[in-house]
Amino acid sequence: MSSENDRVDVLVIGAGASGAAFAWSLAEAGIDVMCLDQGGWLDPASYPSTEDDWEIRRQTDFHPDPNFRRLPEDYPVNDSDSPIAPLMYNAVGGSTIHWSAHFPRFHPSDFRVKTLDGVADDWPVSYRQLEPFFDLNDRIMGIAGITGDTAYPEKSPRQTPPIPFGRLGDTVASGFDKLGWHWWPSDSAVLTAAYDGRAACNNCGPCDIGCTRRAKASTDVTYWPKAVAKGAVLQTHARVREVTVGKDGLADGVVYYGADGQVHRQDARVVVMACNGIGTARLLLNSRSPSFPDGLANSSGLVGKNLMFHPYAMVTGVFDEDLESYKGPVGLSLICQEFYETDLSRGFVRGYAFQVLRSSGPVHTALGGISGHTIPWGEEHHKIFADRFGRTATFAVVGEDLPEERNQVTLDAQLTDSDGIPAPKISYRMSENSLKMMEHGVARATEALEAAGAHEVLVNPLLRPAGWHLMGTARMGTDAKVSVVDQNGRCHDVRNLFIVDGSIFVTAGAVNPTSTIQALALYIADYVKSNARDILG
Amino acid sequence: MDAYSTRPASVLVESQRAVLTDVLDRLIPPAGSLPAAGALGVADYIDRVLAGSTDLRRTILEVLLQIDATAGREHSRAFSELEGSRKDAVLRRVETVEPEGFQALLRQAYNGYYSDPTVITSLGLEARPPQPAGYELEAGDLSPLEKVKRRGRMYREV
Ligand SMILES: Cc1cc2nc3c(=O)[nH]c(=O)nc-3n(C[C@H](O)[C@H](O)[C@H](O)COP(=O)(O)OP(=O)(O)OC[C@H]3O[C@@H](n4cnc5c(N)ncnc54)[C@H](O)[C@@H]3O)c2cc1C
Repeated sequence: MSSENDRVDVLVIGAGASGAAFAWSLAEAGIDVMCLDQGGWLDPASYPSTEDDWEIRRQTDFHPDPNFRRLPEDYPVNDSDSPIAPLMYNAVGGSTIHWSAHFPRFHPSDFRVKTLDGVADDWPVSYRQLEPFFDLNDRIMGIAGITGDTAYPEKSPRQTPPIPFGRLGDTVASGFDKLGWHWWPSDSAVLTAAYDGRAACNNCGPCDIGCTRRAKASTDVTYWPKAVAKGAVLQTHARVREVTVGKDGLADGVVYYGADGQVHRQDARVVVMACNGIGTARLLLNSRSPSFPDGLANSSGLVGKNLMFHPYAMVTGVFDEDLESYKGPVGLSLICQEFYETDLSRGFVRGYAFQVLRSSGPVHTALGGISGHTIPWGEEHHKIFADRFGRTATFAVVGEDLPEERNQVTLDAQLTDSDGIPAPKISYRMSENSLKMMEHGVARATEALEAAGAHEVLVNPLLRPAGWHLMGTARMGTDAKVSVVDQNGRCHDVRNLFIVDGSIFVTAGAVNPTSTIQALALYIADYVKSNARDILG
Repeated sequence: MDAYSTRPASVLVESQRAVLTDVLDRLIPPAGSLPAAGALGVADYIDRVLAGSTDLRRTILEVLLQIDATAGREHSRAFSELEGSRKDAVLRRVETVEPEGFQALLRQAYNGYYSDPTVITSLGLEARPPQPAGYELEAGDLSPLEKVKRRGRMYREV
């Protein structure tokens, strides 16, 4: 058991995308910061992409779904009441170990949905306020791309040129051009040239099983080495059970299980939650005390509520020519934002984007690729396999699902992790608006793939293993009655408790969230640094 | 020493292995230079997978049982004694009645088949993992972006 002497100034829980950025920012300023994560360091040299069984490892110990992976550092999630299964990874780097590194920013309009469209709520921060932090984060992560995208205000120069298109990109872009629709090379947190001591991508393909070259910006190879060099302490295999509060009602530290399986205590002046949109709500709900009987920082009752995923439909075009679609980063080529901003004549409010995805190896193809259309067995098998392998391009239709209180994370009554900590339970339904939006997106994706020359289009209207983006379960706001944290990520109820992950999102936008999650974490870190005397005492 | 001495602990008994091999030959039949899955030895692969997974063991042994039982019920023969189209009819019946178990078997069949170096080479690919060699990729043509730019701003000012 630690004593008062061991108290750290700032204790961050979670070493993923947001926790790493936040801890680095504080360490840079010389602030005493410690981070606890339930996972450990991974060695990029031993990722499955160097092994012959790499396509199998994706389905076993490198599965993105913790319920399939079941490693000791994972916690199970009861997702039986949700059409979308949450995905995540628990290690230094968090889910960025697995991520596809698609790096679009939220749009200016995403922060003002109430004012512009009369739905949900405005954020208490704006694109312009976050812009310097988007830029700073881009510099640390290293972004491949090209400026001039008409779907955004002008961005700072990208660190390396865009990911090569290959034949697949050229083919799909020709379809967009025929229709006169917007498209742009994806901003990607994957280096196409050496940068900051990291090597360039060599287009091997499966970013999702970890990047041996450190070309993909998982935070174990970007923020963490810098943060540790500046004095941040990162303690691995430390699974936090609860955040504790003192008599003054302030957070005073955490209780965690160490690698030895024993209970430990860590005292802190300030506690920062960065366990992702499910893990943070789970931990707050499990941090109950006489002063916080419904979970910590939960006087609004909104901890765990308003969970947002991005619903994903997958629309795969099959082409006559060999697109070599198994070559190159699987999640990345280009993005189309023609239908991003609201146009009520489409029959729904808000919008969606298309991410154009590549394919992967023979096993993945046989099992139906990302849209899940398994190749039939029997006499036709080889013909259909030959038709599809290397010849598909998939449009991920990424929709904005608006916040609803019924969509939520609660604590499961029975299920626990291996330390006995209650596991989260997810309840999720899609709204009528989202269903109409996705239907529209599938029709437009089909149109664009056909314009590009696809002879067959395979549709999965709602992909189940698509809970990559976890948002909204401890929302930001200025009114303590209807939000959990304020405009600086500070809990209304517990002023020395901050939340810096996707839980604090007010709405979900229709792009991948991590660029915005990290910009927000850096923005909150800047607030803590600027007010260190007041916050740290 | 015979070849079997290097085989890891086997879950399948010979009769199950024989049914599985016949099933695999129907799931992925031969074509050109591509062998059938049973003939390729995918049953050995599945046996090794079953040795490491008790969950799958139960599922797949149950499916194999169902396949033989269905053949017996509908054709009064063992599965292996049926001719090709009848075997397929039995498999389709089991696929309908036991979809989850059947899909689990199919997944393992595809995993074993398409990670086999013989198959990968027959597909015209190099039998190697993605790293360290990676792939060359054409940069692509960015000139059409000028057209996109000419269409003007797409985002809403706030
Ligand atoms: C397969 C996959 C693909 C993705 N692709 C993209 C993409 O292309 N673009 C994009 O923007 N986003 C993508 N994402 C999402 C992205 O990874 C997340 O948005 C991002 O990592 C979230 O950051 P975070 O810090 O909130 O949480 P995470 O990165 O998930 O990190 C949370 C950390 O907290 C730790 N933790 C949780 N609970 C505890 C506890 N009780 N005690 C101690 N430690 C704990 C976990 O071990 C974990 O390391 C993808 C995700 C996955 C899984």
